[in-house]
Amino acid sequence: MSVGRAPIAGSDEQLIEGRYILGIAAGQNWLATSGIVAAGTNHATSFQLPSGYALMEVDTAASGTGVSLPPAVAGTSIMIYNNGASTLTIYPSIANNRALATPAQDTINNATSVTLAQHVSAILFCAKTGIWANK
Amino acid sequence: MTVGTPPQDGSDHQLIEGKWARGVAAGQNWSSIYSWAASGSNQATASQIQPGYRFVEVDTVSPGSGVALPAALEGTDVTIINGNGTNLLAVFPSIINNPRTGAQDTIAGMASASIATNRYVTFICAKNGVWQYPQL
Repeated sequence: MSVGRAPIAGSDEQLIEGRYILGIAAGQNWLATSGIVAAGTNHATSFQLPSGYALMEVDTAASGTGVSLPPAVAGTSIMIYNNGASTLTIYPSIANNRALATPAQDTINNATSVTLAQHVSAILFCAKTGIWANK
Repeated sequence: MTVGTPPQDGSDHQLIEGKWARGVAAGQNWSSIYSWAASGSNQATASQIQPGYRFVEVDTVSPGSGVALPAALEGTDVTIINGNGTNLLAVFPSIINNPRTGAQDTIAGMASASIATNRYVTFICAKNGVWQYPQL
């Protein structure tokens, strides 16, 4: 976040700083996190990425390790950069998606995982709950 | 911006028009600019893009010319469009050092990138000082 002051977290209605929200429209105020460490060797043991960040940087990725996306909820878009030493495996959320009428596993490009080469970034978006698309 | 009335710029807290805010959520109200002109032949002489725009269309690109990205501040993305149909567009990090790291920014670990004619690239920053972009 680089412009203005963010609103107080929570659902209360409140006055919003104009500079801050214009910063969102300018692509300057996405919530970001870095220093993520990939883990495990499969879907169940991978590192579960948190919800609530639009930009995420994985800085440690040993061979065979991976991360799991947050639940695929319609209207969500995230960008991930692999700054680790190895190819990163990206899985859907470890737990079944409870936003679906019948909780089930999410998919990514209609598959159970995708890979992200070292020093490469990816954009993932969800227009229908349960389904991640990866560009 | 295409939907509603944007808030006043500045630090005042204010009521925000619902139509405008929903337009942001719908991808209709990103800040953009076009007719930008590339310049120079290296980082120092490139045209410095100012922060505050999410989409920047560079329409004037002479051979070898380029633009410099805004400072790489975490939580930022910016899409650069090479709207020129003839020449490759060079993209450099910000000309001056990053105000938070005190050092030169990088682009995917490099000192520059390039965008083909009539193509665009989205640069993202999750860590101060480092721009990245999808390379598929």
